[in-house]
Amino acid sequence: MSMPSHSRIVITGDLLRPFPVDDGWEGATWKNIRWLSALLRPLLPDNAPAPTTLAWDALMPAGAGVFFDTPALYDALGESLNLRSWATLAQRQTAPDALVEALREPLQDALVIGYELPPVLLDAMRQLQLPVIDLILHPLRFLPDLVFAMRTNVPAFHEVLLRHALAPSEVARQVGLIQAKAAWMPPPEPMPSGTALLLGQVASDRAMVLADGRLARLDDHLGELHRLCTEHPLVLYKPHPYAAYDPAAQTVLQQLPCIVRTSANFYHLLAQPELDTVVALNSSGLIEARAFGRRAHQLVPFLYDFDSSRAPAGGHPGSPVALSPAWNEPGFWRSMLAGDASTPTTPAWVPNRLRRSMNADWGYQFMEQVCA
Amino acid sequence: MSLDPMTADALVNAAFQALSEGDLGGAETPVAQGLAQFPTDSRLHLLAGVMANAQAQPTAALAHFWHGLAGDPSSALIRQEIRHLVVQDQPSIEHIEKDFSLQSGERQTADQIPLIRADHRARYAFAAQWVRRFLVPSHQTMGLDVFCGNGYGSRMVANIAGARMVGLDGSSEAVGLAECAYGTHRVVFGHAVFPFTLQAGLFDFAISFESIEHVDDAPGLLDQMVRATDGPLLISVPHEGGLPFARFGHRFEHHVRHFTLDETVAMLARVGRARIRAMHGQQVYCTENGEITGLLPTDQMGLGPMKADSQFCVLVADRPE
Repeated sequence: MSMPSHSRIVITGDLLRPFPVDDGWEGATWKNIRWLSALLRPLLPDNAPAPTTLAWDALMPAGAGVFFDTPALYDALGESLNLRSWATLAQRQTAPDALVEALREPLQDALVIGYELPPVLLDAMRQLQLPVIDLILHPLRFLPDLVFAMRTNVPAFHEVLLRHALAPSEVARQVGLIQAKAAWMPPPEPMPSGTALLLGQVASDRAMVLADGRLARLDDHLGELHRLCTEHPLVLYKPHPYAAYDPAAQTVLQQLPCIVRTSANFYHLLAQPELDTVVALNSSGLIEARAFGRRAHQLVPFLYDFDSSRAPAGGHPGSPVALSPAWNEPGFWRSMLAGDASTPTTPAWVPNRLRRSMNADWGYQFMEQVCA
Repeated sequence: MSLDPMTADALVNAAFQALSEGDLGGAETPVAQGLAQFPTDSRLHLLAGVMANAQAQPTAALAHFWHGLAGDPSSALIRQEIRHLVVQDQPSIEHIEKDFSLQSGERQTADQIPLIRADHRARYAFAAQWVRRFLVPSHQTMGLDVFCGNGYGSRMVANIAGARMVGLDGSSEAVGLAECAYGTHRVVFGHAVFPFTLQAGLFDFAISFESIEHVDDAPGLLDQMVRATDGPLLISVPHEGGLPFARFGHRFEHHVRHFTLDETVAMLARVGRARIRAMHGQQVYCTENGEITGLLPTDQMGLGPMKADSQFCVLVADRPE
């Protein structure tokens, strides 16, 4: 695909994902789409078309965009509207005709800017020959602000992304700062040399959807977790902050009583020299652990392959590129939409700007602690 | 041969039945199938360990026992099997006239590490740090603690270095306390009275602090330690230079003798541990006019350079390079 023409910009997300509410289901991603839309509006060039949204957003303000009738789509596909159907549908590599047709008009002649689009939506857009930029929250969450990655099916856009890639030295510097901070603090737990850490995850997270549509569970991996317990003097289990109780993890803890639950801060744990290994289904924490020099072992495949460097081809997006903070500046979008891959200047981090805007602090407050 | 899908109980029963009939081969299939299906079931690991031991594979047996403890740290059967595996043989203890009681006056009796007397903690802290620093990765090592007393030291090594530890002591009371207070799925204690015969080659290192002076056959005890490990020995003894036995022996009624540094080094060399990798001295007692008058303040009980008048000598002795 050469530099694509488009007369519209449409911001969207995983339109297919339902979220259970009292009286049924609502869209699970309308907040992400509103967030991305609000964030991008002031960043897009004046000469670019004003962006609109496409969302399963029952309370979408008039004129803000197009309502996507997800329940009608599931009905057309002969599927029940629930998380299991979504898990199966979202993973499909080939979009069904009903989905392609449902998107044809709302996305006609549009540049699509998506938030974590699932494979089936990317394929639908490929079939519609639409240029796509997909924004992905990057697993490294300990930098001064959240890191985002982008992937695109437009080679010229991909070149721009590569020019704005996050420098590994930035990551190393921040790891150093966190470890330096931890040096002044008492260990969060008594930890023998060779300790392992098992991370919990949110059971319904999209990352947990397996190729066959089932959701990954920790207790499906008892053999490997048992081996972990035999190879390490201590195995700590840290639940996900949004899923303190996970029945599958509870089963593991019952079967392997030598695993010790911890509520210690994740980065404080990562900074301990005694920590040897981090294990999880496919948590982002594994990528972070690797940045801290720990062994990281995933029990199921990662949702995104941040290690690959595949270029876009045949309408399929290239690999996601982790970006410097530049993407949150107007200059980036001027370059991006013009396909201008000249060497950019990298702006300084504005600490916590996106973190606060996304209400996604997780364990980052660790760095702000004042310790005696 | 594979069996139809069975419950863990059924597989354990099938294996047990076969073993009861002396049919080792008949137990292999249900145990193998059970471990594949129920990897955390400690009973299956116990059976696998017993079978491996019966086939003269002690290393494999011990691995199975440790794996079983990961699923059930308090399994008394597995903990007992580890002790039986490590100690191959020991004499009847009826004729041994020693006070093995917890309150003999020779033993640390606290059930929490911080309450153990500082000089004892200092030796094990040194051992743990040495193992962590030099036997890398230390969490993949396994250590033997000969005459472990109430077990605090084995646990310290496990806590700091991450090593698996087996502690042996002649006092069943002390071992009982050790199991309750300091036992974990990676730290196991067993009752064993010297002279015993240890399983060969199971361990990566062996510790024996303040023990050799308690037995009539000190070289024999070292022989057993080097039988148990090809690795370094970490030992401490009362030093003749600072605590001459002729003068102070009456204060140490359970000691057979004290040692000069030269005697200690020579004794270690005779069992193939001629390379001294670390050596420290330690002061513990106040002495006045040739008498022990009390203990030093705890902050003076740490390890320091070995001197002519050091009261204790702490050594790490390894095979020649």
